Amino acid sequence: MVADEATLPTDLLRSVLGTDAEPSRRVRVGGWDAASEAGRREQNEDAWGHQYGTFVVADGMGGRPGGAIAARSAVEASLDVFTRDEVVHPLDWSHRMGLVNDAVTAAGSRAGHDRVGAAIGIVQCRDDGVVISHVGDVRVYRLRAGVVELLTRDHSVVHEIRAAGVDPAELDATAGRLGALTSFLGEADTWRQHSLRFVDRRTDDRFVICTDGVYRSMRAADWIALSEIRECRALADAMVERARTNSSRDDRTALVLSLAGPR
Amino acid sequence: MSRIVSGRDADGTSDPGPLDIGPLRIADGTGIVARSASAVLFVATASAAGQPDLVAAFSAAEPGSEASRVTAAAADASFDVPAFAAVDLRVPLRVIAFGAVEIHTDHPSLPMLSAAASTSWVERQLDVGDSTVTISIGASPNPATDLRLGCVAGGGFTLEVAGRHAAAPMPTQTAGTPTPESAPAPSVTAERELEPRVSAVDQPSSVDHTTGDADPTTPIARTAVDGFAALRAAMEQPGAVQDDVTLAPPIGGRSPDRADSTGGRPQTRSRSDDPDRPFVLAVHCTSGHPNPPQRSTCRRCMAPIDSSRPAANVRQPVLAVIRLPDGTQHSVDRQLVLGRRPDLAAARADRSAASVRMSDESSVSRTHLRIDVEDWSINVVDCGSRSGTALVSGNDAEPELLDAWVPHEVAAGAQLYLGGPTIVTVMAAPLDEEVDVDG
Repeated sequence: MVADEATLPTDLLRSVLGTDAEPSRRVRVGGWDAASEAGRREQNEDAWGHQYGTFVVADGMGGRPGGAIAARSAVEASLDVFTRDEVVHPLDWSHRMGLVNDAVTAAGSRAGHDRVGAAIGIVQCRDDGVVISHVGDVRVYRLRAGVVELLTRDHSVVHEIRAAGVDPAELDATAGRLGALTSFLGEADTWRQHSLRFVDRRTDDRFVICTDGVYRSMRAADWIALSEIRECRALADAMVERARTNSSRDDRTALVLSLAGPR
Repeated sequence: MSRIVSGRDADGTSDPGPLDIGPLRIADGTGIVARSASAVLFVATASAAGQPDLVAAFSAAEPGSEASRVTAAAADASFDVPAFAAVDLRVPLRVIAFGAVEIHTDHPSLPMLSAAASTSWVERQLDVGDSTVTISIGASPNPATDLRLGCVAGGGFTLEVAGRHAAAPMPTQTAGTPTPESAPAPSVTAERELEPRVSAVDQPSSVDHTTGDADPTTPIARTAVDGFAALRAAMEQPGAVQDDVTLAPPIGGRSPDRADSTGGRPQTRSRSDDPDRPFVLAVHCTSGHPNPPQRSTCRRCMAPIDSSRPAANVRQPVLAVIRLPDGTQHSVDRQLVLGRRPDLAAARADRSAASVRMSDESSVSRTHLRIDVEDWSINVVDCGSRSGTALVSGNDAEPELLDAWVPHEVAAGAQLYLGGPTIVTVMAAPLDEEVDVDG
């Protein structure tokens, strides 16, 4: 059936004409919580934060000094620049991510570090949808109706190799080399590969932002079992605990937020 | 085209007018499709031990109550049943879904129906009126099949239903395959009604499918009552499939009739001729379908996934199929750029992207829309088109106007309105495109 003007849904026409979206498509943050703990290091080099509907998790790069400073400054700067208004245009978003990068670099310099680095994951719940953005290997998952979906693709060497049509398993490369980041905050141009997109959202969706200290130690069975936990605090705690139980030695952070319908 | 008259007249509220029912085309797959005199059932997987056999419930139901018996069986089992879909072919037309099965129609009010996010079944009534509605589940069907009564293995079906005064769009029956219109109204026992009747309408058949010359005691006929287990047992018996019965081929297979019937098939490359296709990390279900690593059940056939097995790198699966207004279909397994004369550079696309040229629709820009594949996700990007793009994510979803150059996630069931009236539909990939041959 080929549609014509007469067959267009009235809702679409209303939308095209600029009328606000129906309340049924709107969602709000129903709850959220986070858990974070240090791994083998004395200091936790992960950081997290939220302001209004914007949630951020950052992971300071362990191979560089000042990881904790980089992560904390990345979260603070993100909550500043990404909550000023709801404009999303790629150039605008890129400009703001550049401001975050500047803040991270400046914070490292003030602490006496000339090279700092951090990965970052952002979930922003807005009137017009849910925006996911990340740089590096902080991941965002969506839990919906018992299904766990990874919404981000790491900016890492192994993904570049896969994208080039090469099976990483056939390469004589260590896991460390394959996991090396191709994009991160903290240097002049390394952040430019950042990702941004709107994702589908439904009432009762839950989003998890977590660092590699958590997801690298989570097996599929762990995800399946833990996704049954409905309460945000309990789920965040359980994920961090499960990663620790599974011998994760890295810093572990999980932030969980759940969506609800309009009031 | 057969004619079904409403059986819901008792309460005086239903429309007594008849519906014209076109051929029931069967798609490849490992589920089961059953048809009675007034309903069609699709069950995605075999019932596990302890679960009720939905096909048996369907088969045992009185004519007119098949769909209700199936939903009652599901409710009695606290919905511990496989995903299923049912269509009640009376007036008003009822469409029912449970679980992660997706029913697609071209009716404006129901682009897609799925109960993936629901703990019970969902159902909708369609006012067919004088129009023709196409209802489809699963992959493109085998055009040489037409299930009249009974049950067969299949991954879904496609069926056209027309209102009273609609022009009949369905293929005419060929000689040797009389239409059920010439047959007396069904009044025989359920088992007799459910004799398997899958015929190749493109070829003259020597069997009168209306009078049911097939022996109802054949293994295939018994499957109507016994469900999956008996069907599979019957298919394994040498000679069980009679010459006049064409069963849907297994996943990855092709019936002989399909070689020259690819008009509606996705325009896709073979898996072996593209060594540059990206790799993604995947786990496989017991049927061999690749899945994202965190899943516990197959996103397509709901078969279980052994979570203890490590993920492996596999070539990028076909994530979906898009259907253009002219009916052509394209596999989504790499970046696509859509427009009247798509320019990859203008779309900021990769060099490996494919151009999809659309007919000269005034609402469509030269370079209008980009479709990105990112591991297991599909994103659409409006390329700054003149008339814009609206996304309807699925049944009951409100339209969303896309911000230019901002990727938006889409999934099967979504519809994209390019500049308004031009609709691009995102559909689930055919199951046979998804069996990973490399992994």
